Amino acid sequence: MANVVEIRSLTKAYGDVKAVDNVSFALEPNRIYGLLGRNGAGKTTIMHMLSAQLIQTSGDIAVFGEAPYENNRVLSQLCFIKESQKYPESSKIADVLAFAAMTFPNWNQELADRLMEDFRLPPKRRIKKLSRGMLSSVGIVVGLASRAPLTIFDEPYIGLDAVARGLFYDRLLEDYAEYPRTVILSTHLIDEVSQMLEHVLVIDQGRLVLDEEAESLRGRALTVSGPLAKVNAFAAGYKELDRQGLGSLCSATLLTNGSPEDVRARAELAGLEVATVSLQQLIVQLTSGKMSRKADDAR
Amino acid sequence: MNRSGLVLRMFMRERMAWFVIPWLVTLSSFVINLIIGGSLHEEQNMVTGGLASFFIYMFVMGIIIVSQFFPFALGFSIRRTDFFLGSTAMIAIASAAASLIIMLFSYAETDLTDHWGVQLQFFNLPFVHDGAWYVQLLVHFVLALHMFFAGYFIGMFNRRFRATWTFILFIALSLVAGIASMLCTRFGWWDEIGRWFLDQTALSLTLWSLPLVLIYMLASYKLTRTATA
Repeated sequence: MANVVEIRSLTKAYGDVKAVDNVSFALEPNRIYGLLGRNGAGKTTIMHMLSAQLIQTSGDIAVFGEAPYENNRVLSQLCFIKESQKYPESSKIADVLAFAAMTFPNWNQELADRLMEDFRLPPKRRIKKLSRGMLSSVGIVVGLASRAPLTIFDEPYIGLDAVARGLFYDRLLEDYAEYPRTVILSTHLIDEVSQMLEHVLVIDQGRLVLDEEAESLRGRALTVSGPLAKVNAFAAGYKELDRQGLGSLCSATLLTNGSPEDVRARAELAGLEVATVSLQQLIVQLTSGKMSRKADDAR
Repeated sequence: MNRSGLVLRMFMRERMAWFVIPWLVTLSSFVINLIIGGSLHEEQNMVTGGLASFFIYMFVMGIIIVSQFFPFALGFSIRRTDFFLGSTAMIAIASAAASLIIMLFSYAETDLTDHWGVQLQFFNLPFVHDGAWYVQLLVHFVLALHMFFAGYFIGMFNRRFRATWTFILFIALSLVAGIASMLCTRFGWWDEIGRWFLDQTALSLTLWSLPLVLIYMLASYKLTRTATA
C-alpha cells in the first residue's frame, strides 16, 4: 500500500529562522507514529503544514498521494487535533460535535456518544465555560470519533489528569484495533505512550534527528557502566549520547547497532554493567546534547 | 459533498447571533426612542439614527466570522475557499433577511401606525426611503453586504498580517483621507462634491458603492486563501 504521508525537503522559514529545516520522511498506513521533540523543535509546525493550515516555504508534501493545500480529497480524510484549537466561544459542545459529524465522512456517532460519557462532557455546556481539561477532552472525542484515515494528535491532553489520559490511551488502542488508521501522536509524556508507538520520529531544532522503528530503538539504546578504560574501549565503536563519570568509574549511554542481544552479551563479557534506556531517556539525551553542540558551532 | 454548504450550516447553528441579538440591540434603541418621542410633543417628526446600531452590529459580525469561526473551521479540515463561499452565503442570507425586516418595519411605521403615534421616524428615513419598495430593499441589502465584508476584510487582514500591519493600514487609510481632504480644500472641490452628493438618490449612491463592495469581497477572498490558523 502507498505511503499515507510523504514529505521531502520540507522547510518553513520565518525570516532568517528556520522553524523546520529540510525535513523528509514517509509514513505508512495503519500505524501509530510518535512525533517527539522538545518545545519549539518544529513538531507543531510540521503538523500544521501536513494539514495545510500553514504553507511551507519550500519542499513537497504529499498526503494520500496529493498536495493537501485546498484539497478536499485530502482534508476530509485528515483530522488534526491540536492543543491550540480554537472553537467559537458561544458554541456548545454539541455544536462542535455536530460540525465534526458533518465534516468527517467516517464519523461514528455511537463512539462519540460513548466518549462523551467516558469523559463526562456536558453537551449543552458552552465552550467558554469549559475548563482546560474539558476543552482537551472535546478534542479527543472529535479526534477518535472522526475515524479519519490520518489522525493527528498534538499534545491532546493538556489539563487532563492521569485517569483521563489512561482513558484516552485505552480508547485509542481499542478503536485502532477495530478500525486501523494512521495516527501521529505528538507529546511530552513519552513514557506514557512509548508502549503504544510503533515508529518514532524525533525533531530537534527543526531537523529530523531520528526516524526509526520503536522496537529496534528500544534494544539499541543502552547504558554501560564500569571502569573508565573498559567503557572507553567498548564505546569506541558506537555513537555516544551521554556520559557521566565519578572518579575512575564512568557510565556512557550508547546508540548501538547490530543485534541487541550480541551487543549486550559483549558488554557483559567485557565486565561492564548494562542497563536499558527508556525511550524518554533516549529522546532527552538525543535532544539535549544538541544545545551544547550548537554552542560549539557558534564559537 | 459540498463543503461550503457545511460552513453555512455551521453558521446557521448560531441563529441567535445572526437573527435575534441584532434585533434585540436595534429594538432596545427603538423602544428608548419611542419613549423619548412620546414624552416630547413636537410639531415635526423626530428622525433618529438608531438603525445605525443594526449595521454596526453587522460590521462586528464580519470580524467575528474571521476571529472565531475561521480558525475553528480550518482546524476541522475545511478548505479556505469553502469557508469564504460559506461565509458569503451566510452574509447574503443575513443581509437579505435584514433588508426585508427593515422594509416591513418601515411599512408598519408609515402605513400602519402613523409613525408609532409619536411622530417617530426610526425605520423609514427620509432620503433612504424615498424610492420604491424594491429600491429600499436593494439599498439596505447592499449596505448590509458592505458592513459585513468590511468587517470580514479587516478581520482577515489582521489575521494575515497581524496587529502591526493592521495598525499601519489604518494609519495609511487616514493619511490618504487626510491628504484627499487637504487637496479638496486647496483646490476648492468641496462645493462640487457637495453638489454631486445632493444630486444623488439613495439608489444611485448604492450603485456607486457596489464596486467598493466587490473590491472588499475580492480582497477578502485573496486574504482568506493565504491565511493561517
